[in-house]
Amino acid sequence: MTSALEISGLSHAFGRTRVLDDVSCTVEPREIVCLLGPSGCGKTTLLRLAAGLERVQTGAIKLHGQTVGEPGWHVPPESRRIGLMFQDYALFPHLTIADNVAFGISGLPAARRRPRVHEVLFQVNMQAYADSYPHMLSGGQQQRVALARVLAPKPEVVLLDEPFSGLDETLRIQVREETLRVLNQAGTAVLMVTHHPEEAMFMSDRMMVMGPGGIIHQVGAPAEVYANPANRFVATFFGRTNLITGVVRNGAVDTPLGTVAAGGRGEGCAVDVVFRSNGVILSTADEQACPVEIVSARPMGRDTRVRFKLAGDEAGATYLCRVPGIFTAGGSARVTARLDPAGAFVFHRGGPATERTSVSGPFFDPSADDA
Amino acid sequence: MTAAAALAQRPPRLGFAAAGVDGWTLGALIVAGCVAIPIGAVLVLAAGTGSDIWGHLIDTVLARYVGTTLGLMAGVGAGTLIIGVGTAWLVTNFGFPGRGLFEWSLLLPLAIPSYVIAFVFTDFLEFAGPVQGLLRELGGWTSPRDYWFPEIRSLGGAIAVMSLVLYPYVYLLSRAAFLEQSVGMMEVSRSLGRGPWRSFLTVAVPLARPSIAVGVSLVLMETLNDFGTVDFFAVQTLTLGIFDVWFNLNSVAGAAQIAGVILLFVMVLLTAERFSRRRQRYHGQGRALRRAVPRRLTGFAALLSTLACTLPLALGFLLPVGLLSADVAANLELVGGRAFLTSAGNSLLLAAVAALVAVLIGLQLAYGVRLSGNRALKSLTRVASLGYAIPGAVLAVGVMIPFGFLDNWIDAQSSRLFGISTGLILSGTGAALVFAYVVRFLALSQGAVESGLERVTPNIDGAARTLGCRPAGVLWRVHVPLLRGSMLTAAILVFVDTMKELPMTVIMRPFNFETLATQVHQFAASEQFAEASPAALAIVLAGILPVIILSRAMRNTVHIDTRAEART
Repeated sequence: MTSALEISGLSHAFGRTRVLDDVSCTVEPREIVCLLGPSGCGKTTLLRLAAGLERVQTGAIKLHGQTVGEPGWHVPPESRRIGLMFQDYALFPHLTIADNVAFGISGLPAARRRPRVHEVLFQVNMQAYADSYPHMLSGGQQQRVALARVLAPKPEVVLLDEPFSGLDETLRIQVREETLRVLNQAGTAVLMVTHHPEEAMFMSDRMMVMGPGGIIHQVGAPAEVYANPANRFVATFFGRTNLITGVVRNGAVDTPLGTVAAGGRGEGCAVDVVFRSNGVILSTADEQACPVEIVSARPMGRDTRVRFKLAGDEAGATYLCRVPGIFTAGGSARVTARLDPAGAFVFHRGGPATERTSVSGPFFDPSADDA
Repeated sequence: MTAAAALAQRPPRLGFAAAGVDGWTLGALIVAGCVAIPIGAVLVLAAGTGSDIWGHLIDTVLARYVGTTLGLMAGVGAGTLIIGVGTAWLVTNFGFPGRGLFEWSLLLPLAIPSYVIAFVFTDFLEFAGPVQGLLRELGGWTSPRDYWFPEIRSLGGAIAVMSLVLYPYVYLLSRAAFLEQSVGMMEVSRSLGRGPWRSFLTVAVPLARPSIAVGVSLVLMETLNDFGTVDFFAVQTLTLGIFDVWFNLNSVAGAAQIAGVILLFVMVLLTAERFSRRRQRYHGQGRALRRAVPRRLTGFAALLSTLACTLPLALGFLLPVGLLSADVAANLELVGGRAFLTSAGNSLLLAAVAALVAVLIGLQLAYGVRLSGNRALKSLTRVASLGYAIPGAVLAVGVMIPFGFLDNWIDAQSSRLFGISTGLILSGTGAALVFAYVVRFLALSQGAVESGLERVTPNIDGAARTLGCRPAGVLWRVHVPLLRGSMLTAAILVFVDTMKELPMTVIMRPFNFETLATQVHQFAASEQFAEASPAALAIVLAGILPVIILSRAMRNTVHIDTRAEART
């Protein structure tokens, strides 16, 4: 079966700024693919190219096997049957909710149009607002109307640009579940763009991680990408990480916090050991582990954010660690730390985005607020 | 039709589509090109010197034309500067009786074309008029030799009447600039030891200078454009020179060369205006952090302020309108007369057609630029909207010359092919006149549509497109409903300016075709003031419409500001 959307070798630049670099991906029918990346890395441009709002410079875009965009060939957006939901929703301010939703199906006879409008408004639970105007709705309601408007013409592919970024934290979680339900019900192929790792993991069947300059770093199922990041950039994107440098000896890397398998990296190779803040286990009972000194412990509710350094290493780097619940073993008790092999990764030194990762500097951590 | 079927039909890759030029861009390019032709024609003509008459002009009249023009500009510039900045400063910073009323009513003189106020004051102040009559009665004089009275039909008179009706440009822009200023600036100056007057001159005015400069350059463009006043007062400016050379010396080339000299003036003004607008952005601190609460004046100061604001309003609007109304009331039968009704009908028709065409073209160009971002189109629309800066007489030269060429060509072709001479079928028609109006006033409609479009995020276009709307559909279903207000405003502005327009109408109108403006001009020139009054009053009444729009826009900004203030 052909893919609903197939993008191959797509590169794009605005003036001298490169925003997409040889991007290829597919979205199968009924599949939800999330494109995860930091703000300003070209994600929105990819959607605009797919929708036909920008012309392809290099590469090709196919919808159900038909080429709709390549250099010198451009099918206008109105002929593509692709739905695009904008980050700011872009509802027509002069039309009622019902008219907004009916906008894309104005070619249908009224007898079929009206039931369809009613149907999609019912799906997003907004049927009571059919005669309201966009400015009368809250952000969450506008989001649902925008979704209904996109789905009304039954598009083959739906593109969502940061669909939840306009909502506050608590609303976001609720709307996200709603949206997933509606999208699954509609059964279309979905390509969604977000800078929010948790959102991408929640929504997607498959995810792609994009870095600055529009480079795709990794594609895979959410759990796989999380558990086996392809490089430091991907590992860091899911939350704060710590860095220890080392050298491969006998197929493993020795660090003060324990030994990590080198994962096939060559003997004598200089590597970075990256571990997440939940990739280190603090203990008061583990005598074998590395003794550490607690610098600070900030209770955050669900977990405690602990900053520590190696014992006796006064000038040394500090590391960040999250301990479930309330961390009580500060001060007097002797604390040791050991790397959790599941949360520590070994990469070649100088891999992608090295200069952007500090010892504990992430690109984005939704709940991070360093104490 | 399924999407797949639609996608399967590939048009050939050649042609404009491949070059990124779609139908919209092409259409907009053509229209913008047409509008730019007269402007280009004037530039080309001005550049090409060497006609026989040029040397003659330099020897004889040119120095006088240039000198008088400079004198007029200097006088009107200074007059509007003092009245405009002064009244703006008073109404933004002080409380005195009538301040709320003055805030908007100081705009009213804008409704009166300078050629109307010129003949009204002439009628009022001339030897046989009521003022001198009263003086003679009081003084017991009988002949003009017995006493001195200023001659209104002079350069000084022209400066006075034009300042009275043009100062609102400066008032409007400097008032906005003063409103933007934070009161903190003035307080700092006061606390550093400068008195209120010195603070005004050394802090408030310099901060508002870019805006004031924009206002003054607009005034000077209007001054250059004026034909009616200088013709009536026989003040020999360059604009009058165009008419002289064209119709009395019968030299189009000479007229074009004078037009070229005027264009030099225009370019200086345009550069000054653009430069000031750019600086406006840097100078304006956006919204004032804290607005000055108007300081309440009492006693003599309050009286003086009220008087200072009453004077320009009374002389620039109340008195002339009162005199006009009295004239019309005394000769009411003229209002029902053939002359008035015919010219009123002609004016309404021309103005309505010009407004419609200007708004449609403005819409097409503004949307074309939004749609394509084509660089050639962008610069061409910039040129096409330069018409507002080019005096009507100059523009008329620019329209008539290419039209004349076209007519001659059509005539020659027709004679060659069919043996029939067509004569001049385009020049001297209403269509040519409407075209000239559109070229001159396109900036108004295009500007209004453009700023309306800018308020709509491009995502709205994208949403409509992805929902299956073609570009024309997006315009029709989304933008036109959203832009209705801006388009109406634009139409009213063009409509009224077309009704007031004199120099182009005089030059280009069809034979024996009278509009309200030409009628005022003609009757005034033959000193039939009573006959001129109904048409003049009609123009003034129409002119009040844009003043209402402006004052409403002004009040809205004030409301937004006060709301923002209430929040902080």
